[in-house]
Amino acid sequence: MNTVFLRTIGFELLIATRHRGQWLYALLFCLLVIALFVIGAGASPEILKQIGPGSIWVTVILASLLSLERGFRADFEEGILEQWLLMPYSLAMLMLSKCIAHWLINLLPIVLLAPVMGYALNFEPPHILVTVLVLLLGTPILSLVGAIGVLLTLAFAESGLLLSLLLLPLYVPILVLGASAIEFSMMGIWPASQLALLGAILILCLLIVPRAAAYTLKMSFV
Amino acid sequence: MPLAKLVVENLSCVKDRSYLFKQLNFTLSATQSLYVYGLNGAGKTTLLKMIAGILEPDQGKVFWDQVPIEKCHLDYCRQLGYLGHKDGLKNCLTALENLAALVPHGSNQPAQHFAQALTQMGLRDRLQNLPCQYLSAGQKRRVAWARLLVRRTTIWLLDEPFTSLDTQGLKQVMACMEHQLKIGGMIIYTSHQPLFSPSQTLSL
Amino acid sequence: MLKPLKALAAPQAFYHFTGALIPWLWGITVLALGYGLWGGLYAAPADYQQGEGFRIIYVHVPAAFLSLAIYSWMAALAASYLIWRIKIVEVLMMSIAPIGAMFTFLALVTGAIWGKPMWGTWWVWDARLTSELILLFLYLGVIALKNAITHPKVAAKACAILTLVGFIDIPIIHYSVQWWFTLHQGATLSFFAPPKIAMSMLIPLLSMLIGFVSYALAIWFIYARAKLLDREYEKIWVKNMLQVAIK
Repeated sequence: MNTVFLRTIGFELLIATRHRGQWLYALLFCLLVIALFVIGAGASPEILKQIGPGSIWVTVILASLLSLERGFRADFEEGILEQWLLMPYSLAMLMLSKCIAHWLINLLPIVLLAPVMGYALNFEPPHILVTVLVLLLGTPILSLVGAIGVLLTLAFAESGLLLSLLLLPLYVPILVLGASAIEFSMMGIWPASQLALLGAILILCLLIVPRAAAYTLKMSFV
Repeated sequence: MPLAKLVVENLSCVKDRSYLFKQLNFTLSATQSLYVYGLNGAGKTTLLKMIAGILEPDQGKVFWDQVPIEKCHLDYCRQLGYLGHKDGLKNCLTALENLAALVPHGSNQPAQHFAQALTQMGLRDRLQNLPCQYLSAGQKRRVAWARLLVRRTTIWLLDEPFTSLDTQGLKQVMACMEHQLKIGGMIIYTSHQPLFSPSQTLSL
Repeated sequence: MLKPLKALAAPQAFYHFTGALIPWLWGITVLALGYGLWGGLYAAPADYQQGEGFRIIYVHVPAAFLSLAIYSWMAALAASYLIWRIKIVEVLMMSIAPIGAMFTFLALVTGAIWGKPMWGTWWVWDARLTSELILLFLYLGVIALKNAITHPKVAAKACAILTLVGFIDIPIIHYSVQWWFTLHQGATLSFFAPPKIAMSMLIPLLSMLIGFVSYALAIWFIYARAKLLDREYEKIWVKNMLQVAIK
């Protein structure tokens, strides 16, 4: 079962390499939108300090929303997900592998380049460390909950805006925990509780989302 | 090959407030084939999906080896090969990669195995290593057929298996179907063309 | 206990039972709202701290309570639909969403109106108001999903799943926003949850609450019955009833 899991992720990564450069889009989107936030707010150092934590999280959330459809819709339309229903493996495991693959392809580059984004927002090294940690814990949650959102709209409702309307309210706690953690580090406090809560939510999602995603996928076939 | 039977009991499907089909009953044993025919929209694909377990029937049950398929899902899937309307192929992967990805334990099997199946279905070496988006509809159908062959399952559920295939492809496909029945498998297929001589027929 | 409930799950029985209930619910609504409005707007003394402006709580508090209660009830319906697949539950769950959205909107508007005499602005990012806003978006998401999916069964299951996911998220949203905003804004903005409330203010408030609940039930039943008729229009009992109505 384990090898199937890893091999499925491997094939998703292979598919990503076939679409040249598409994995970069989420990352470039992030950099661009942060630039927009900074430009829009006037770019003075004090303002950057105030809007930095929130704007980096809003950007990451939007980037993950935009990249979600790509992970699932093509597979649904090509009939791959239909074949997955008939594979002699746990559908929940396959769904989890899809979520992890989506995270690896679209969101991990953002986490790895977070230091650059933090530096652009005048974060100091300890803040950057916290930013990376909190993104590392928070972005998989975005992938997991986002997968449920995409699967709900898979069969009938193709609209990026509808997906955003469904998912953004659900993402509010991640935004609050993430932004507050970075602000705490700016005040010199180590955000232990935020990291712990994000970790707890991540574990909860890892336990619940695969089964829920499998159920939601089955529901889309009529 | 096992002597298990596929039993369909009282299967009904409701669509748009009326019955698409009502209380279907049939049994399929080894070496038997069932031909489902009907007009467009009669419910042939829906019936096939219900037997495959993709859809839940509104009434009735499907039994494999006297166990309802919901209870033995993984075992049933091991015995089941499904060729749907959509080819179920990733366009950006080559035919060989598609087989490795979408056949259970596909990565464990040697690549020649897949190459052999593809050649058997008329896809030469050069085409096997091309991303599927560059193949024609008929060629993609052949890849889907190759995947079905490689899996070597007992039950074949084929939804319009003859579409897009040329005369040579049709001959190959029918030879495969006859071989499958000879070795003890069972086939349920839908088609608008009665090209194969089935043991049972069902009209929707 | 379960037997009468099971009997009620049949569409026809449900239709007639709720039909009989509705006039009573309207009666309770009129009486309770009437007493509550008289008691709250006229008879109760003005709050010594906030003056006459506080009277908006007679609408705001019941509306806010109902907005959350309806979502919880919707989540309960969603869970029971996914587990037991009772058809009537599907109709009930889908029809209650717009009603919940309406009360949430009312809570937001009255909350904003309350803010005007207090802080001079029409909108303030108080923790409670912000949570209500997110709740409104959760409702709107369920309604949008229901409208977007054309297949009724898939729509029902999708809305049920979304409702449940939202339900799990609501306490997390509420507490995280509240914690974060009190950190930034301090604990001064707590007018929306008066800690102690005098008896003369409390009874009209409870009366308003009862009135709102029976109003919500009345319009819910009306809407659900209409939806039920639409879904069951092929059935004989509906045809007979409509024949009688046409005659």
